[in-house]
Amino acid sequence: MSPTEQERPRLKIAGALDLAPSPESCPVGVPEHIGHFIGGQKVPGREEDRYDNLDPSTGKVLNTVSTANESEVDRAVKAARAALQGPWGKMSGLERGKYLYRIARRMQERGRELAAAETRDNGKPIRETRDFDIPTAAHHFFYYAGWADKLDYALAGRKGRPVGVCGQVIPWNFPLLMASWKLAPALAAGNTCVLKPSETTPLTAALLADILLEVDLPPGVINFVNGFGQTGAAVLGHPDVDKVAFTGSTPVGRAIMRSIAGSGKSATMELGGKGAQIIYADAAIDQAVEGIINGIFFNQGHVCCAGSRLLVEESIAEEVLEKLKLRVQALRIGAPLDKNTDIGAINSKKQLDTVNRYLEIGASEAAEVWQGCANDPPAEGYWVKPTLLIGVSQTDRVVREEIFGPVLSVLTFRTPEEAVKKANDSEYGLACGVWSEKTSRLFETAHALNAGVVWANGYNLFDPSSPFGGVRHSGFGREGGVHGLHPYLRLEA
Amino acid sequence: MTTSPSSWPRVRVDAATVAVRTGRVRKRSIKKDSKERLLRLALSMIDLTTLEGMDTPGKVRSLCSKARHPHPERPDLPSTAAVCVYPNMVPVARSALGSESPVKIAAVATSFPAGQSPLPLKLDEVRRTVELGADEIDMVIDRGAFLRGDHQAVYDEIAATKEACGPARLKVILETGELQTLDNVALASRIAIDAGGDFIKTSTGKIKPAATLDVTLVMLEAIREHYLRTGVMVGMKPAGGIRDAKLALHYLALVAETLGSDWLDPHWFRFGASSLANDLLRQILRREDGHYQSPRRFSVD
Amino acid sequence: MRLAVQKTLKMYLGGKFIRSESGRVLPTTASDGTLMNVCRASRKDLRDAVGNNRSSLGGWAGRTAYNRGQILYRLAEMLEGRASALPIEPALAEQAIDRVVHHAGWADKISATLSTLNPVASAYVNYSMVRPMGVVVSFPDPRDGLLGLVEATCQILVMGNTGTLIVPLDLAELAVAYTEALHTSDLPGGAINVLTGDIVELLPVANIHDDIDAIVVSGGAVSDEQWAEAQREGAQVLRRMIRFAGASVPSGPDAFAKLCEVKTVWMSAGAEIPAGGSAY
Repeated sequence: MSPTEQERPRLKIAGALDLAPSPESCPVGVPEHIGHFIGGQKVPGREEDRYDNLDPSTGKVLNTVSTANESEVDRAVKAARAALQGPWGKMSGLERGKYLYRIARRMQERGRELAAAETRDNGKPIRETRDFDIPTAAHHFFYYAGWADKLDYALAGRKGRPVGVCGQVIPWNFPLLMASWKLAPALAAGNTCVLKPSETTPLTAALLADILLEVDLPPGVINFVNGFGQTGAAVLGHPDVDKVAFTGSTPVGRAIMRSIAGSGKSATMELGGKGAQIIYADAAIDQAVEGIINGIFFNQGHVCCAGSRLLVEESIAEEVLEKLKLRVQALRIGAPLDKNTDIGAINSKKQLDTVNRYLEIGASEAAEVWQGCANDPPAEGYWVKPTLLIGVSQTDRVVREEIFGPVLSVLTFRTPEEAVKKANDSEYGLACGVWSEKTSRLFETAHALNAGVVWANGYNLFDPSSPFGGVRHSGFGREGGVHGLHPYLRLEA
Repeated sequence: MTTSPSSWPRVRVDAATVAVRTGRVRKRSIKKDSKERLLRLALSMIDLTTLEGMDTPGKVRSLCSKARHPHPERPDLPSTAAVCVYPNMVPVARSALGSESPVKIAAVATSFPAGQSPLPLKLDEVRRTVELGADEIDMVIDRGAFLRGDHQAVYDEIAATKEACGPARLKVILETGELQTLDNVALASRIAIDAGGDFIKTSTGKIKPAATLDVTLVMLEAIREHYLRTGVMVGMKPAGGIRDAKLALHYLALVAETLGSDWLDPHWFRFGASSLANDLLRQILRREDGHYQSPRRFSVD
Repeated sequence: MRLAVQKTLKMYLGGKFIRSESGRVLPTTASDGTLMNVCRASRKDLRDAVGNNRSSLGGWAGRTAYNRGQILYRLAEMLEGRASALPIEPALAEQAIDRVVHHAGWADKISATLSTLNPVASAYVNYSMVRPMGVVVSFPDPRDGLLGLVEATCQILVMGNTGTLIVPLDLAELAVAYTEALHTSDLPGGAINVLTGDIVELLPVANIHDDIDAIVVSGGAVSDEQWAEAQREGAQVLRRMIRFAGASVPSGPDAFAKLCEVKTVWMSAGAEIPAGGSAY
């Protein structure tokens, strides 16, 4: 006989580990103002159209940032073209690769500072920037450095040549990492770049510009222009840009594809997702719970491939939810620079509003809305506690639409066929996860899922050697591995 | 008592993700007041251990004295939870600690460490050790039986030992270094708990690897499962290989995040260790004195 | 004098020869001077064709690569047997047949050239494999004749995709002769559908249809302006829009790569996670 709800044994997880504040002490030189980086020069940018960049954990102003207009973007593209026709284009692959190695090394050496800067600018926990964002960003340069003199081996029977000037627009969720995903393969392939960071997270690109100066990268090979969507559109729409790469939302991706139609530009698009995590009854359940946590609460759920739909086999649903709730109660929310913080700040007021809007929708769609944490979030800044929307159905908006926050929709299934069908019932197809200790089921499910990436007994794992990217409305093209090099190559016979 | 072997479902553990989880715990930054508090707590959770063939009454008396007052200059520091000795040394420890001592006497029995004796001999050893004054018995499971799949034999032996313990609390040593896989650890933990173990314990300290965070997490999860199902608490004792304070604090963080505050208590969590006490003392005094002490400042138990 | 039997050139859909649901038939002159009737596919015919491709996808993609290769080789055999009946020069027929033989050999090799085992710095086995893109609508360059038809067919089938070829009306006689070979090649119904019709009419339908995964245009099948418009409209559904130069050079791994999706799988395998190598 199972104990009733009232007398059910309870574990006191939340607050059990009382930890004193432990802030990262590395000083960050946050510049008062961030302009652009064009032709190897840090330029302040125009006086007009400057905006305040906010610290999301306090809502206070961090610094001011310039907005590049079309003529500034044009200067950046011209600088990139000149570098392509000049020293960079003439350089041997090995020499090019050596620059990438240098960049990787400097990023590692300045890793602590970059991590602290990213955390201040973005609001994500220092634990993640220190252990994931920055080391992985450096790893990307290290990985692609080695490709620079091996382009003829990228695809059997073809010679690899640069495409030309690349226009790249990246999001705010992994600022330096996304910049590295875009820049490293582009440079390895011999291209030059104009990259626009997100308007809410320009800081680490500005620090990367310092590193590029330190390693003597030829002027114009990498250029940064700051600003909002208009600046991004100017970069991608510039007639002398040969290749565009974008990471961001699906609606913006559609608009970009429309805008470059007929231009002959090649494109890679890394867009939204609504990843499913399938937990079979024969899974290693305690670890599957850890996977769910990594899948949806990593980076406050600001992850395009976040596992935001939990599909759990009905017979273990109760156990999984119980364990999941216990695990969530050990997650610490608050000061992003605190080394013990698991859940940082939502990146912006705008995103906070979006998540809160979905929480309202979820309140009407879900049978139960459960929120938990080890502690209460601070009064200032933008915060959302980890949230479970339990008892939702395939047709609900919180199951179909990307929320981009720490919100997990929980559904159940009875058979593998139903699990795969529900997982694939999405306009997106970026990433999915599956948990089972039965090898054949793991492979069968992994191969049946309609997604670009599948984690079998894991979630949200990334590696520069591993191609990443989606199918259907999650975009096209791959980043990482040799497949991530291909979009930056023109292949000749 | 007559549960058949097939009644223990196979438990599956994903080792890669266990490592991910413990890796996160290892990143917990425990500073200032929290560190002070947890250092003292860790000290109070130690089963101060000597299990050598060359143990002498003198050494055991000194061990008991250290358990009672880990650092005589600082009487405010807590005693350790217990001393852990061979059965022969139980009377020595009892006379050194007295009958009212808050420091428990734990003794290894059941033909420690290999356990390769007939069951009646082992049960007799347990009964006599309790009669000699042991408060707690640390037994070893029959790894041979476990590894050949005779789970019922493992269960029966633990259950019989529990009965032989009488009022003494029983700690069941799985010897995880010999079980090798986390799947085995998870299953052995469940058998030990089902058979009546009051504590489950990782290792004898005689086999490497001894305690690890990964193994401990899997055992804590077995304890949690049992508690959530029955409401009965079971204790946990990682033993062997835990030498420095920082690692000990990470064990406590793992316990706090897995089982919650009720287990942050010497009654429910122990460290089987000998040299850990001195490193904890060093850290505690460093916090108060503002500089590190030489290890020589503390008695070697 | 005997009255000749007039032939109606039917379209090929789901393994059957059909007329356009619209009933639209145009008279045209065959290569031997006789009069024939050609079906002109409607928008609904195209929707039916891709719907049929979709339901056939699992069956075709699920075949072993060996089996796909055998069926493609069987297509070459069937074409060889009908070469004399094809309304083209024998040399052109031979060239097209040899092309099919060439591609038949790719079916069980392309995945080995495009897949990778990725050395990730963590306790996972990580591999990237190629999977079919799905349903493809292909516009072969009419100037490539039979070679264009077989090239478009093989581009689709080698990787396990299914698809529909849109062939202009003036190539209908050839297209129908070709579908008769397709029909006898053991290819499952719906793997390849062939519609005869007006590109200007059908391309816009394909552009905005969300249940098509890729549109392939070869050489001069559509104008640059049509292509730009197709890209603009296809953007709404993030359509993979692929343009090949023509059929003179056989598709190789880079071309096939455009008609597949790279799927990366991480399998947990072991306990040790080296420091700094993993996400979390």
